[in-house]
Order: sequence, then C-alpha cells, then structure tokens
Amino acid sequence: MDPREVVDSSCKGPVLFLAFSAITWLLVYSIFSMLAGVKVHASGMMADSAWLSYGRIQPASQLALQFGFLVQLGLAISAWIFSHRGRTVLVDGGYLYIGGLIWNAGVTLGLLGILSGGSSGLEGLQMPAHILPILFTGFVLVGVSLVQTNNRRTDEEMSPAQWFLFTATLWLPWVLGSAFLLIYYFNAKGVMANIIDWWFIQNFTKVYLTFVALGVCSHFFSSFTGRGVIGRGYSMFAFWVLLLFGSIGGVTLGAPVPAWLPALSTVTSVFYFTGIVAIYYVLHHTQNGATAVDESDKDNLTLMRLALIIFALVSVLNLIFAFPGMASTAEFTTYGAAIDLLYNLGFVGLLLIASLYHIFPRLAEMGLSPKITKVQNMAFILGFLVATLPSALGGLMSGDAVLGSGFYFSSVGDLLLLLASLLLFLNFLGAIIMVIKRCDCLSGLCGKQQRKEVKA
Amino acid sequence: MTIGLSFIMGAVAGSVAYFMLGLWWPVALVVGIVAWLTFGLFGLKMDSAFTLMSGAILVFCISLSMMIMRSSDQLSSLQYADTVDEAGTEFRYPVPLLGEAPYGENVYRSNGCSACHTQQVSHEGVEFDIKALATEKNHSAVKEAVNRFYRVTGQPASSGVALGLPVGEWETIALGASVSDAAKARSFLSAAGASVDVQVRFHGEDLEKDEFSNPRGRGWGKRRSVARDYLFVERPMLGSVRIGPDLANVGARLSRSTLMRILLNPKSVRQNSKMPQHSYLFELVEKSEGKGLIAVREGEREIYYKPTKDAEALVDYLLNLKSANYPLEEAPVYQPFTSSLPKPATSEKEVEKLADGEDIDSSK
Amino acid sequence: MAAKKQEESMEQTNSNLGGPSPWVYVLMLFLVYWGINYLDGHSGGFNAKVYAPHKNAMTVANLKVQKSAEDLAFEGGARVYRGICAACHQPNGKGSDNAGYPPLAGSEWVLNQSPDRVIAIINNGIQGPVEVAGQTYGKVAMPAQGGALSDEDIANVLSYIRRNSDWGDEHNLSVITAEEVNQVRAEIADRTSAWTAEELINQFPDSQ
Repeated sequence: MDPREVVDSSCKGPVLFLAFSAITWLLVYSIFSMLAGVKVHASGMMADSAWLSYGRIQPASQLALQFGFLVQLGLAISAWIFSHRGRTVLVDGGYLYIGGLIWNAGVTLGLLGILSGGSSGLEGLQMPAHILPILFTGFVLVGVSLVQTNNRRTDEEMSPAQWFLFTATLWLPWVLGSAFLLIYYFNAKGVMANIIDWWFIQNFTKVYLTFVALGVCSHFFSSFTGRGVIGRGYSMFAFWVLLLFGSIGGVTLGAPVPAWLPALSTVTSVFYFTGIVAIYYVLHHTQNGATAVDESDKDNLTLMRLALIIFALVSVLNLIFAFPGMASTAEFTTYGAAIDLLYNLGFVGLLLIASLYHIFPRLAEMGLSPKITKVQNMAFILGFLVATLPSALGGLMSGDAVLGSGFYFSSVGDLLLLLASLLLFLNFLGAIIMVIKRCDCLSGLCGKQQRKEVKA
Repeated sequence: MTIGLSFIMGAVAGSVAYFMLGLWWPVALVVGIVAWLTFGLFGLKMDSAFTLMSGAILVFCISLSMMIMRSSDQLSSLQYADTVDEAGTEFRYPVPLLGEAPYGENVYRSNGCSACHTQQVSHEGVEFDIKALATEKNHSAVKEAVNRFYRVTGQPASSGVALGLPVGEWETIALGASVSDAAKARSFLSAAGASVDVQVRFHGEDLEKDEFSNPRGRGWGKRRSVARDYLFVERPMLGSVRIGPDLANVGARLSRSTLMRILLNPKSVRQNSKMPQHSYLFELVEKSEGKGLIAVREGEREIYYKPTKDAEALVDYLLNLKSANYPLEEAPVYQPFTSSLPKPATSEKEVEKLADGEDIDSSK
Repeated sequence: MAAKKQEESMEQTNSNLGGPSPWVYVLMLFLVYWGINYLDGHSGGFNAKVYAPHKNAMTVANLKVQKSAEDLAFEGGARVYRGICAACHQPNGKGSDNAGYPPLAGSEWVLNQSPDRVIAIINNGIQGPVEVAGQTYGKVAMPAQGGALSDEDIANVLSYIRRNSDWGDEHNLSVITAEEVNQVRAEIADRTSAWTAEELINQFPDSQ
C-alpha cells in the first residue's frame, strides 16, 4: 500500500472531525456576525432580548471565529502536516477526538456564557473565567498527539513548516494559561488586567495564528509546486525575529498606561516587520512562477497566493499604523477591527480552507462538489473583502466617533460570508455523510483499522 | 555562519536585550554571548524539538518579564491620590463604587457595552502661554531676560516687548510655547525677579473644547485617563472601538434622565445614533404612577416604561464615571492660570476676538 | 499518482537563497540604533508616571501648578480656617449674631495693619465685650486655639483672613510670616488666660 495512504487513513477520522467542527463554527460565526450587523442598522429589532443585544453577540461571534474556527482548523491541518512531513502515522489520534470534544464543549459553553451575560469585559478573552481551563485542557490533549507525531518523524531535520507549527502548538497553551492565571488567579489589579489581555491578543494573532498560517503556507507552497523550501537561513531568521518581537507589544497608543508600553509596541512592530519581509521573501520565491504539479491543486494554489498577498498588505498596514502619527487617526475607529478581521479571514482562514480543500479528497477518498466549491470561494473572498475594506476605510476617514456608511458595506459583506460559510458547511456535510455511508469509519477511533478497498 | 557575522548577531541580540527590552545588564550580556556562540560556534540547529522548545521558553520568559512583570512592578504600587474636586474640596481619588453601582458595573460588563463604547480618554499635546510682570526695580533685568529668551529660543518678540516692556502690567512673552521653551522662560524671568504667570493648555480631540487651544475638542474629559483611574476596577472595560462616545467621564456630562432615555431609545436623544435599543432593560407599565417612569409619546398615546433594577444600577454606575475630571500628578487638568495673582490682561488673541465682537468664553 | 511522487521531492531543501545576507545584520544594527533613539524620545524614560505625549518626568513636573509662597500660605490658611474657625465664624466669615460670634469679614481687628492683636486672640482666646464693625459681642468667649496651632498655621490663617478677597475688597493686606507670629507669641508667652478687648489695646497700642 502506498505509504501516503496509510498516513491518510490514520489521520482520517480525527482530522475530519476537527475540520468539520471548525466549519460548523464558521457558520455560527457568520450567523452571529450577520445578527450583529443587523442590530446596528435596525436598532429596534429584537430589542427585547438581552441575549441578542449587540454587546453580547459581537464578542460571541469573535469567540466562535477565533477559537471555534481558526484554532480548530489549524489543529486539524497541523496534524495532517506533521504526519505527512514526518512520514509517520498520526500518533494517538484518539487524543484529537477527546481534545476536540473538550475544546468544542469549551467554546460552546463560552458562547452560551457570553450570551447569558457572563462575558469578562476584556477584549480577546471575553469568555467567562471558568471556560479557560476547559479550553486549555482540550488544546493540550490535542497538542499531545501533535507533539508525539512530530517527534516520531523519520527525518531528523525539520523543515520551516514544522518549526512554525510545532512552536505554535506549544505557544497557545502557555499564553492562554498564563493569561488565565495572571488575571483570575493572581488577580491582576486594574489596568494590569488590560495589559495582560493586550499581551494575549498580540500573542494570539501575531504569534500563534501567524505561525500556524506560515507553517501551513510553507508546507503547501513547497508541496504544490514540487520545489523544496527555499531559503532555510532566511526562514530561521524570520522565525526567531517573529517569535521574539511578535510576543511583545500590542498596546494601543492612547491606552491609560505609562508611555513606554505604546512606545515599546511601536519598536517591536518595526522589528516584527523585518521578520515578515524575510518570510514573505522565502514564501514568494518558493511559489514564484510555478504551477501546481497536480491539476486539482491549481485553485488551491491560487487561493493561497491570494492569502499571501493579503498577508503582505495587512503587514504593511500594521507597520504604517504602528507609528503614533498614523495610529492616532485610526485609533478607536472601526479600522482596527476591520483589519484584524481581514487578517483572520483573508489570510489565516483562506489559507486553512484552501488546505482543507487539498486534504479532504485524500482523507475522504472522494472529492467535494467543484461547483459549490467555486461559488463558495467566490462568496468567501468577496465576503471578507466587502466586510472589511470599506469599514477600514470608513474608520480612517471618519477618524472619530461618527461613522459613515462603512457599516452598511460590512453587512453586505457579512451576508456574503454567511452564504459562503453555509455553502462550505453543506458541501462538507454532504461529502462527509457520503463518506460515513460508504465506509466503516465509526468503528475504529484510532484509525488503525484497515480501510475497505473502494473504487476511486 | 562565520565568527564575524555571528559576533554581529550576538551584538544585536545583546543590544536589543539591554536597550530595548531593558533586561538587567548581566542578563543582556549573557544573551549576547549565548547568541554569538549559538550562531557561530555551535551552529543553531533547528532540527531538534528540544532546541525549539528551549528557545521558545526563553522567548516566552523574555516577553513575560518585559511586558507583564515590568509593568506589574510599576503599577502594583499605585495608591490613592489626593486631589481637589470642582468646588475645591480635597478628597481621595479614586472613589470606590458604592450602593448599586458595583452591580451596575456588572450589568455594563455582561451586556458588553464595551463593544461600542470606550472608557479611556487620551490627549495629544500641551502648550504654554507665558506672561511676565516687571516692576520699576527690576525692569531692565527683566527686559534683558526677555530678550535673552527670544534669542535662545528663536521666537519672534511680542509687540509689547518690542516697544518696551511695560512696568507694572502683565505682558505676554510667549504664546503656544513648547515645554522646553516654557521652562526656559520661567527660569530666565524668575531669575530676573519678574513675576511669571503660566497658562497650561492641553489639546486633544477627546478633551474639553476651547476656542484657542482645542477647537476640535469633544468634551469627553478634562484630562487623559491614567492607570490610577482604574485602581478599583477589577477588569477595566476600556473598549477598543468608539461606535458610540467615550464614557470615562459620562457622569459629569449626562444626567440620569438622559441616560435612561438613551438606553430605552437612543434615537430619541440623538437622531443619528447607531446604538441599538435596550428595551429589555425596561418594563412596560399601565399607569403613569410611580417615580422614575419614562414617558414615550407614540402617536397620540403616551406609553410608560419603568426601568428595571438592572437599568437603575447601570445608570447609577454610569453617573459614577467621572474618571477624567480631577487632576492628578501624572495627568494635570487644563489650567487657565497657575497662581492666585491678579489675573493678567487678556492676551492678544483674546483682544482680537473682542475686537471682532466674539465672545471669549466658548459655549458648549 | 504524479502528485504523490512529486511530494516526495519536497524533502529536498533547496537552499537557493541561502542564509540571510550580511546586509540583514547591518539592517538590524541600524534598526537597533533607531529603536534606542525612538525609545529615548517616546518612552518617557520608562517612568511609571509619564504618560504619552509627555516626554519625561520633568515635563510632567513642569505642568504642575507652580504655587508661589503666598498661594501656599493662603491655601494652608484656608484649610486651617475651614477646619477650626469656620465652625463659629462661618465659612463666609460673617459670624453669627444670634450665637454671639463676631464676623471677621470687614472686622477692623482683622483689617488692622498689624496682626499682633489677632495673633494674641488666636493664641489665648478673648472674653468680655468687644466691639466689631459697630456691634458689640461678648455673649460667648472664644476659647484659646494656640495649643493646637503652630506658628505657621497661625501665620497661614492670618494670611487667609487678611487676603480673602471674597470677604471684601479691603481684605488685601500683607501676608504674615511664621517669624512674626513667633515674635508676638514670645512676647505674650506668660499669658495664660483669655484677653479682654482693653487688655489687647493696651498690650498692642495703635501706633505700631
């Protein structure tokens, strides 16, 4: 049997479970985001319910997006990449099931907690305090499997993809756990809780999500184009610079903290950008001018290239707006939230979805409907562009609390995103139902059972 | 990597550690040496998961100590400060929330008001106006000091001084001077024996509006928010987006009835408000008895709403939010004049305005 | 199948770009220099009390209200007055005719150029009939306050009542120093009982 197929069959159940949960959460996110947008236009709608107030739906949607969708899909793809890069079966795949279940339970409870009024008031860590240990446990269990899989790799040498993904797997529990302990156990006083929160957000976006995305991107660029990873030295430089300087900062300009914190954030942003330039250089050269070796990966490669462009755009914007002169225009407007969303959906999300399109046929032994996929991709890309760019521009132009029509655009974008995520969900649901019907997947959790021979 | 390049790498690492991350110098030195050795002699091998993990732990510790521990050292010793309120009475600031206000804070938190409102005021810059008073005795010394100030700072001389510094009258020496210029003026003039009066003017879009120095002020606070303002708040809901106005000082701006109306139907108070209605905080009542009811006219009838306990507590909390109102050592409030000496004559700008028939005092 | 074979070649790490060129390190050194300068200018010296946009602690100190000695004396006196004297003489200095507390606002005793009599009154108290602003008071004796007040306190409160323009335009007499108070108190150090109006005028004649 082709060793690739052995690896795939070991990954099948757990990875598809995590991936499908992630897609469900994307759907939940888009529904909530749509609801939130509606509340801003038609302020009288559904005003009688506390559960549907804007201040509860908005943080809930962020939770669903970041923790439900991005982290879980990242874990799924990481698992697949670790086993393929390392040419090993997924070790202890059962942990992915258990960890995934606990993670999903945590996100669900967190969502319900926020909607019922238990949000913490800290951006980025809105879930009630008791949810954090649940999330931590779920992630660590999944991480156990990932780390073991990486350790069982056949080649001693690790590629940049593995560095990025491995460090990301370690990083999130450390940051999440520290934030939880510092805020809730050691009772950070006053503005300290906010500083820890900003530190967490910075680490979550600029280190964890970025590393997951860069690892995925690096792997797939080299595998789609058939080239090796170009520029190991630059990747190493980028890795350490991004890790060191991405983990410090994130304090906004006008924050009620001593002046050195925003100044330090500006300085680390500049250094972080040098790491971005280095890794972009590597990734760009890896895929420059190449076409996908496998026909079916052409679209995926295009999607990933688009994601890389968005990455570059957002990074340049982040550099420009790290300086006080520019930041004061954008501060407290919808610009910041819009650009963060563009990064989350347009770079990380798009990258992960594109890689899921590549992985799914190999795991499930059947393809997704290409037409739905095309429509879904168009809707998704259009959706996040329309949802974020006008809002960002509007935020910059208004520069103060009075907002222009950015909200209307972002609602149209939300509608497109809702359509996209619905299509994605149905696409996968349909395919998975067929897969489950076809094979005996439910009988072997660890995926070590032999597959039935199925006609391709 | 060659020894030379790796030495540069070590120098970079050490400098970053010391100057920018502010680590203790022996630690920075060790970081530099370790970087030099790892890159040069041993060749950093990224293939071992152990290397990655230890490197990641090191970076994690640096990040934690730099950002969290250091700020915790600075901010954990914050205490009350003595300040004066509007009437001039001294009191201890900040004042902890009393009565229903802590519950109101929970209502604010659980309803996610910080998704649209911030509670932090910022400000952009500060300027000084300097005026001097010379007597007969020190007239020539003061004139000399003023000329010296103009020479040193390169500012143009005010017309009054060019004609000859008046005796016994306040004369404007500098308008809109920077901090360092103001410090120079103060020291030159007091050394010459003149009485010096300094007007401190802040500008920032969040601050109180002032015709001269802050025409675009939104009146959201008298000074910027600082860490001491949140001394008793467990997890300050600073917010990050201003879809609605900043609320740090809302207790000084709005009244109870306005706040209630805004919660019930924001569009009735501000036409282009984007705030959703929070009618779940209110109950519809039949009769118009009882205190604290809000009447809403719908067509010909009047409908009465009674605020729930949540709404009352929330408004109590909001009325307590006056955190950008009182001066602190680290955040002084806009001060018209800094002494109780007889007020100096109106400045040139003010005179121009009077000549144009405008009112000096800006009405809100 | 072709794809799967191709994926095997991904193991080759083509170091076409090689390691970071030396210029990257030169750039990093420049950035370190820039970073140090930026932090010098914007970080407020890593001081806990300096908030943006102030540059350093000295700037913040410069912004503090620079009070003259007179202002400090006046404010100190106001505090003493509010804490001790206002209970009887009222915050507005008008006293109370019913209760027998004479006013200080417009009082010729207060508005005397020389502060000696008032210092004596504060130190030991006053009893018996005394005429203030055309009216006679004496129903209630003023107890001695000297035990609780230092020279500086008395000097400050004197400065306050002599210079409180809210009480009238004539209240713009000179500031009193602690030394003056000390001198007067030394003169009358033997006195233990409260003064009467005649004794005060005898002790401190008008010619001074």
